[in-house]
Amino acid sequence: MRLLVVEDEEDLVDALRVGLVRAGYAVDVAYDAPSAHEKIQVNTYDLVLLDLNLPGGDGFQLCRTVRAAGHGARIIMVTARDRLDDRVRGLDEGADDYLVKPFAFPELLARVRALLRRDTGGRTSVLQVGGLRIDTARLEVSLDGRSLALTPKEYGVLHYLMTRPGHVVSSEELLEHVWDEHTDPFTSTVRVTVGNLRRKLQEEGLIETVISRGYRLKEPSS
Amino acid sequence: MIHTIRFRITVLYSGLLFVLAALVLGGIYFAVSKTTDQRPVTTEFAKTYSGTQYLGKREVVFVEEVENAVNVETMATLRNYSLLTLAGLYVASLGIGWVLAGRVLRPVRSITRTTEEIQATDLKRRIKLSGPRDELKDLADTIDTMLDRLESAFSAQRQLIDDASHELRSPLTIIRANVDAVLAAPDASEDERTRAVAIVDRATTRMTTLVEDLLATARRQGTAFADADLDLSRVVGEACEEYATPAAARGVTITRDLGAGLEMTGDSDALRRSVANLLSNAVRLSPPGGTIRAAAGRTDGWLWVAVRDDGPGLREADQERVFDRFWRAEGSRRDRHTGLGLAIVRQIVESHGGRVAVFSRLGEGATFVLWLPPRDGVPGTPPEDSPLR
Repeated sequence: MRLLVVEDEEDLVDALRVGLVRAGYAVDVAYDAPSAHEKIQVNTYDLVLLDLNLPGGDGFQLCRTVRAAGHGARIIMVTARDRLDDRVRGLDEGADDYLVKPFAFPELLARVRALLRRDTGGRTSVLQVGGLRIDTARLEVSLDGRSLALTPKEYGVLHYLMTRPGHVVSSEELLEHVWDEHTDPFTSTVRVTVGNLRRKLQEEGLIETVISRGYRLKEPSS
Repeated sequence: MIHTIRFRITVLYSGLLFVLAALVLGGIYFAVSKTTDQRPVTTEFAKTYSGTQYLGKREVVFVEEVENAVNVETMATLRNYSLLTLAGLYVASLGIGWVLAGRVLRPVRSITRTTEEIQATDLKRRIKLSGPRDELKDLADTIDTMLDRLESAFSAQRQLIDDASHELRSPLTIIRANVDAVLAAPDASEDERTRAVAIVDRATTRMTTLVEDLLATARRQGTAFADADLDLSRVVGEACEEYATPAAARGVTITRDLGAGLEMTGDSDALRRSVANLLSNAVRLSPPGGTIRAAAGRTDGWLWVAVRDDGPGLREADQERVFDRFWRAEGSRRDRHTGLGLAIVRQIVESHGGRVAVFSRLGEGATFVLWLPPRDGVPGTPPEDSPLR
């Protein structure tokens, strides 16, 4: 899952990035409103963490623009503005959640997980497809009770595929949602990662290749 | 009810009226009774004859005596009517007095009602008494202006608290996020930890400065200054020495141009701090290799301190807001300064009876001027132009 952090406080961004990447997300950063705007236009994000007091623009305005452009990204407003009318306005302008600074990082992660599973109909932080089980809170993956050690990117790819079992997911889509903006779009990194993932799963045909279209996680046959 | 002004005014008014009316009526009664004789009729018997024929004895009175008797009757009537009138007047004056006092005191009731409704948290309401310009309207207007001042003081206070809590939240969030996401994470790398510690350290320093500045502004508002005779040039000189090292570290030179005999009364620590705040900004904003000019002198009877830098300068619109609390120029938001420095300067200078001014054009540096009254006082307001040419 790919996140955009819009925040002008560099020291805060550093910590958020480290924490979010460790939680298995691809993270892009924008330090002001215009660059955030540009990144939202160019890339596809699953979720945006949005500060309201931004240089070069207002967070509410940015939120409206995102919604007007019809992007389905989830938005969490993360701000020091704790007044009731700000919170109400934030949610009314299209934010999915509103978090007042200072916040506890585990809470932020929990809210991110909660919003991201809304799209896939997940009810808790645990996702299960056939024998595959993934705990997004603990970052644990197991297949038929056997736990697997995955790299963050392998985890990201598997998580993304598990939210869409039976659907064909293209390499570009994986690149958009699992890798951040610093990745060269022409590398074979997706192919290599999927290859490694298959090897670790040790089960043939669990991740199928649909020729010239992408990959598909096999739905449980039962 | 006995303790209300309305009751007392009514009783006093009708009592006075009663006494006056009693005096008038009594006077009239007395005067009338003095100028007329009143004796009872004495009857005598006289023999009456018709011709020579004796008719017998008859009662007779003298005409004078009849007049006197009429007077007696009149006086009695006068007395009765006077007493009746007095009684009627007393009752009527009580009623009229009650109504009149109520009308006069109605504005007071409306003032009371409105002030009762005004809560400490909602100072928006005003009495806005209508009617002619009289004492009560003056009172109501005075209360209204007092409420204006209270309201603006309250909202300034609330604004300060809002701003301060907002400003304190940023470093708090940074500390919290770094502790949660990096320092408390068991699998964080050594590199990440070192970085997070440095960030937390920076944020803590920022909070410390902010809290100190906030306390400084609160103190300046609260207590009186420790006033003493001082030489302004010496105060500026000390502040320059304080900033010589940080300036040199940035390759910035501070030149001094201090006049002699600039004597005034004030708090030298506070004034040094205000000059130091100006120098701190100048050092921060000067390009490497730049020059800061610190000068002090006397113009039109006013003492002044001026600090000029070669920094980026200020836009016209920003010049009015530069002394506001927590104001920071658009590009300097990432700098780790609190935005309180110039607000403190203004507070110190204004509490000395002086005024602050800034002269600047975008891209041409800025000159900050502090106008201060000399020891022997000064007429009028400080000059509008910059004393530094």
